[in-house]
Amino acid sequence: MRKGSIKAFNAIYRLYVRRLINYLSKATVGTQDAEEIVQDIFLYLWNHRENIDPRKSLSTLLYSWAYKRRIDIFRKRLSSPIYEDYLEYQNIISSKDNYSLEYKDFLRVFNKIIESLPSKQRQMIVMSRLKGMSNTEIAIQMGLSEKTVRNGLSAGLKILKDKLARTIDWRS
Amino acid sequence: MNDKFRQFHDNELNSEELKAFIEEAKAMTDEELDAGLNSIGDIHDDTDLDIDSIYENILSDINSDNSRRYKKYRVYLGIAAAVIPILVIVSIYFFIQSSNYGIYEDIITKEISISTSNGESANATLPDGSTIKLGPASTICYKLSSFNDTIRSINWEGEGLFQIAKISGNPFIISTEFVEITVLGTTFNLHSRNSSDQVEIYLEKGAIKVSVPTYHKDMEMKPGETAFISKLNGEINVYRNDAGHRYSIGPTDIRFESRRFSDIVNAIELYYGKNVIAAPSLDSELFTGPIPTNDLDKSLRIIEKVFHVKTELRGDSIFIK
Repeated sequence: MRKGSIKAFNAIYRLYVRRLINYLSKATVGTQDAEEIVQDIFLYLWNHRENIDPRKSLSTLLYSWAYKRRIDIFRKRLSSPIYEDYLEYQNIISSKDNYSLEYKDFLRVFNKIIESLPSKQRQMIVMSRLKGMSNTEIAIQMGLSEKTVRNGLSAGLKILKDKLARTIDWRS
Repeated sequence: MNDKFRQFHDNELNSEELKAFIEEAKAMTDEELDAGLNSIGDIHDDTDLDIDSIYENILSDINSDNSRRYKKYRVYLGIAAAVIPILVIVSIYFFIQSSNYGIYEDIITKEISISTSNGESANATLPDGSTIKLGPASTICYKLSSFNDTIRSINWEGEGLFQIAKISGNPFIISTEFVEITVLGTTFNLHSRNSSDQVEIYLEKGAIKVSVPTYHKDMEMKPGETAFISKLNGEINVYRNDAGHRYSIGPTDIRFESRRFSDIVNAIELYYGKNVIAAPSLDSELFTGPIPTNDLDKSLRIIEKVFHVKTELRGDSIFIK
């Protein structure tokens, strides 16, 4: 592979891809983010193939890149606003009605509501609430201006909160 | 603590546990987090994993990197070669502007789509005069350019009652994710959802041809027949309605045969546009019989009786305990 053989690269890819996705998806919601990280890792591997020290284990190299990305994405997920949204929602429900809503069920209601939003707004909310991405990061990934993201997100979140509130407010 | 990583991953922590876990995990070192994540064990659900398409993405990234490098050397040749096409494009542009052709081109190739959400229905009239009554969570997509002298075609997802205008020598083609239906003028009910593992078609009048491209199967249907097509193996079962069988989705109810509690819950959410929040799983019990699609109170009473539960309607939510 160091000499630019795509065949060798393919063999390495097939050897490690499932293990790496499994390793990464322990930290992600679903496997999509894990797949994206794996793409980055293999692209990096290809672009730096000439600098790879053939005496060192390839597996150690791949996992050391994956290790760093996995910790980053997990820390981001721990700070993602969805958990605060849920705890806040759960507090309101339990004070009103003494009903305890599981996070899983909250997520179901949440997903159902965002499904009804236009696809751009839905993407923004998923990136912001579930993945803990900043407006700047969302803007770069979606190829939009930060202002567009800020406006789209605030409109989307307003609809989301209204609909969540309506789901809570049984008596209305 | 390590158990908590697994529960967090599976969204199984309750609100207090979740709060405590997040605080504790945020304070951990990278090594501690890594050990916690490793303790989750293997995630076996990689059935949907399409490693070939991930590989194709990587290759296309590699190629675009390469072509960027290559382009650097060809830049002067590129500039020279670009001048001639620009002249051609500019003249075509002025020609189109002067004939207004561009505006019509936009209109006839623009995709038109009509959608309903859960609990909604709608009527659509197509350019050829055909009408479609859309059931909940259904979508029709078409372009004006796909209605012409030789063919009429639409894309479909969901359930609907189709009344197709008869125009001789001009077939009407409905494409769904799994089947293609060719119609010459008729009334029928189509139920084809991406989320469901079967397609259901009830033919009231006329004749249609159903194709299942994945399995190279074709079939013609006669009036009064209902066809069930399995997406899992392409198997087609046709029933005559007068022989005691009937279609599962009628105008005012949906019939279940040995279906689990979660299937009934999905139907309630679909037809009434409510969120169902159900306590512990009742999936061990199976249900056979009809559930109305136009009377929520009656539906809830049936569920209470069959599954021995209490239901409560609050705003947009139905709580089942």
